[in-house]
Amino acid sequence: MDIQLKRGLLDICVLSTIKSQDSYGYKIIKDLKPYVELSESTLYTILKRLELSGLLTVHTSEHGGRLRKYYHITKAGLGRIEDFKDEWREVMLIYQFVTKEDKT
Amino acid sequence: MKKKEFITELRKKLSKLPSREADERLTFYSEMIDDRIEDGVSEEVAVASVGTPRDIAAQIISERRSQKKKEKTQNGRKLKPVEVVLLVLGSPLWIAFIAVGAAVVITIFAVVLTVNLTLWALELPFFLFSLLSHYLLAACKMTTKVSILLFKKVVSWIKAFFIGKEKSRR
Repeated sequence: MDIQLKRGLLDICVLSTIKSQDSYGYKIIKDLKPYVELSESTLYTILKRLELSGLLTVHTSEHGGRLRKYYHITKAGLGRIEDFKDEWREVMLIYQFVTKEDKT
Repeated sequence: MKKKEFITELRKKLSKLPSREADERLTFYSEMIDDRIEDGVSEEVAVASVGTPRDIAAQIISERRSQKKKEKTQNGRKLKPVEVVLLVLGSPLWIAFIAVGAAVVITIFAVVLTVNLTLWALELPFFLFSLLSHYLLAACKMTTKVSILLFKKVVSWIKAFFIGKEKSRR
């Protein structure tokens, strides 16, 4: 898959895992496993990028006697997911157009 | 490999990174391993599933490199439209260009003037014999006068241009 496209999709995937509830690194990877195989270093890069773009915030909480980083989606992050849905509707129309041309 | 070993090794491999970034990444991996252990796997398996310190370090370094490259090209693009135009316009080279242009104009007038003067000088002996020459001489005189006038105008224009520039600078 095109790198630029894949990167955009992964951003949306990660944002979606924290959409309804704050989450942490390992859980994000586990939640996405059925859909995309994500390595730790890739996830780190994505989280960093999303944090710098203001799409999510990070906070540290104690868990079982150690610290764990939790990721919280921002309003801008939720907006990004909505934008993606709109964009993807357009992409689906283009897909239909392209495959229709294929058949004839 | 135990977690402690893994962290020590990864820390060594990331020693070239800014210490804050290296710490952040190490915390990230440490948390990942702990969460896997908590999920019910042995420490060794948890460490192994995160990847070897060597692979991780290599990936981080290559990612950072491409990130830096991207930033550089983005900066280059940002500079192009506005700043490059300003740089060109503000370049002191333009003074040299204007000087060259003025020199070319002056040269052209000098050549025209010389040709006219020469023609005039050549016509002088013929003037004594021929009426035609008289008219030719008159024509030459006229063009010479016009040339001198134009030349004076251009010189004063160039002068005004430079002096005016200096005044506006102050």
